[in-house]
Amino acid sequence: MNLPSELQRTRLSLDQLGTEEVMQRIREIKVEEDAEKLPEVIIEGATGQDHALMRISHPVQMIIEGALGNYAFAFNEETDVRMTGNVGHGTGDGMKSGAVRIRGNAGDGAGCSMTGGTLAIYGSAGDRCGAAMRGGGIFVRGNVGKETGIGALGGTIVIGGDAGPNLGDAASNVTIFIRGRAESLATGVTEAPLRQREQVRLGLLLINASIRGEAKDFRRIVPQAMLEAEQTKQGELNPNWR
Amino acid sequence: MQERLRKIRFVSPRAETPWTGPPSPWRHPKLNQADSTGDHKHRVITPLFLHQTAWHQLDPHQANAIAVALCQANVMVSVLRSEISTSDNQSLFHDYPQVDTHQSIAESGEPAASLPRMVPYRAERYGLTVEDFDQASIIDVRLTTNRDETGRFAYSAEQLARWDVLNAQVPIAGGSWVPSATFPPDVPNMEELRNKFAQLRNLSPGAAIFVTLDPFHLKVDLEGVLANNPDGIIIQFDSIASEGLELATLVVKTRQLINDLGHPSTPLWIVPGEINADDAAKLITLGASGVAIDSWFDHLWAEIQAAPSGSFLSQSHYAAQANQLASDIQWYIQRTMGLLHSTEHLPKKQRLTSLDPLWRNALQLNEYPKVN
Repeated sequence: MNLPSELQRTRLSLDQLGTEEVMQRIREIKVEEDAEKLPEVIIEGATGQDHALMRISHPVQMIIEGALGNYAFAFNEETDVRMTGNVGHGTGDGMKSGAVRIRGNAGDGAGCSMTGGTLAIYGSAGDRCGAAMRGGGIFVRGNVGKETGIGALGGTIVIGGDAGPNLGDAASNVTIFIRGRAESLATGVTEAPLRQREQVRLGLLLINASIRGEAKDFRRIVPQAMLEAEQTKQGELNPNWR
Repeated sequence: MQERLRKIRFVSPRAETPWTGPPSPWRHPKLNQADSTGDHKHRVITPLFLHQTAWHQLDPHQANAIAVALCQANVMVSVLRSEISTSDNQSLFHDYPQVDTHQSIAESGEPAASLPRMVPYRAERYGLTVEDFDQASIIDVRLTTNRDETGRFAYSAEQLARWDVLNAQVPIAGGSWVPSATFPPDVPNMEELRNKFAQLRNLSPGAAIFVTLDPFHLKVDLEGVLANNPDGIIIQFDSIASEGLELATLVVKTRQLINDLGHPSTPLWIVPGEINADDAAKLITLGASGVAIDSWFDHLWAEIQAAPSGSFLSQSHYAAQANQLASDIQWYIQRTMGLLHSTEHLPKKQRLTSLDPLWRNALQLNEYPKVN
């Protein structure tokens, strides 16, 4: 058994090795099946590089201090990322599993088209956060921009602050929880009561994402048709929303 | 198949022209302007491609066999893995090089070439998986809004069901359609498309980045897109051009516009709607580098869909069916390529003509026959 002191720890410098070489070296890290902790990779020299740390399907923990540019962590799975710094647009694009925790702000399209995993942003996120997502969860402690959750087919979006206009536009089977104020809800989207089971679910999600607060402080935003299907319990008998 | 450019004719060489010799192999314009250093290679392809096929209307085995057969006929096929893969995520089409790698290495001394494949990269990326980027020839960034069969800007429930992996017991949108988008949500504006292209080049090394546009706002859209240096442009002329002359004129003017914007070597691929093999050759001669031939399958498609399908049918049945389809298409391909070869020794400006002055003037064609 590997002891904590024997924890695999690798240091890689983005500005010295370049994004390609860093990603390749991470993919080559050997993972012991019976290890208690994931191998740790400390990424140094993060100065806003674009397309960094994408498509890594490897169970490692990455610790990053500094800024990354656009499309960081896109299409990742199994990775556990803890980052302190800001990220650009498209962070976590197409992410499949694992967790990405960012203590900073994110640009537009954070978590767009992701299918699984957890993306937690402890600052604020730009426009179209969670757009076209198909699964997984996005947590933003601060504010989000306009059209959050646009075209999302599934998953959960939790907003700790306020949202810009057109929240939930063209969204389908997605649930949005918001603590602050939404500038406007999109057509066909409505506020719904937070039921007991959702309070429990949200409470657990908040704990997992290390976001302080109580579930009862949040409101639930869903497509009107989804709410009606819920209320009439006809979801399967008369399922067509549109 | 309807011939829409019947008034345009190919010119024959002058009587005293020496024997022109056998045609040279078709040389497709280089796809990737950045001079790919990818470690994979693709088959030689014709300038013909499938752009918008309703794969979800076919059995996945059947669809897969058709895609393989058409690619083996050197037609570029646009398809996602999720659209034609079976429940275990297998796609003979997508995994093609792996299937016979050992045999091919033994025979030719090098690995088998990938099948030519376009990845339709829609704004929403529904159905897209990261594996789609592997060995792709072209990533087709579609900045167009999809219409479903009803004419809405939407994707049908059937299409979503084929694409997506949500719990089947909870149908998306209650089993209804969902709206379609135009622009990638993670790109703030046209000026930042460059970053998206760079991401895609990174995810799919060696693939060319094309952009599909509708023709309604052509000048402003082309200006914006070309400033980001894509490897090619695809225009959906089928959404606007109903008459042959309109289509031909749009191709000529668009080619000129791309040249004027400083991108004379950027390939222009077009989606013309219903055409025949002669039309395809004429459109290429007028300035297109690639022509979508989806309409060639319209009648064959109905036959395939009418044919029995189901899990009890063997893959060899689907393969035989697909090969028949490819064989039927093969003649049209040969006709297109034959016409192109027939004019390759003539200067570009002298390859086409029309007796109709309206067509001749609109397309700036030389006047034939010359009688004085």
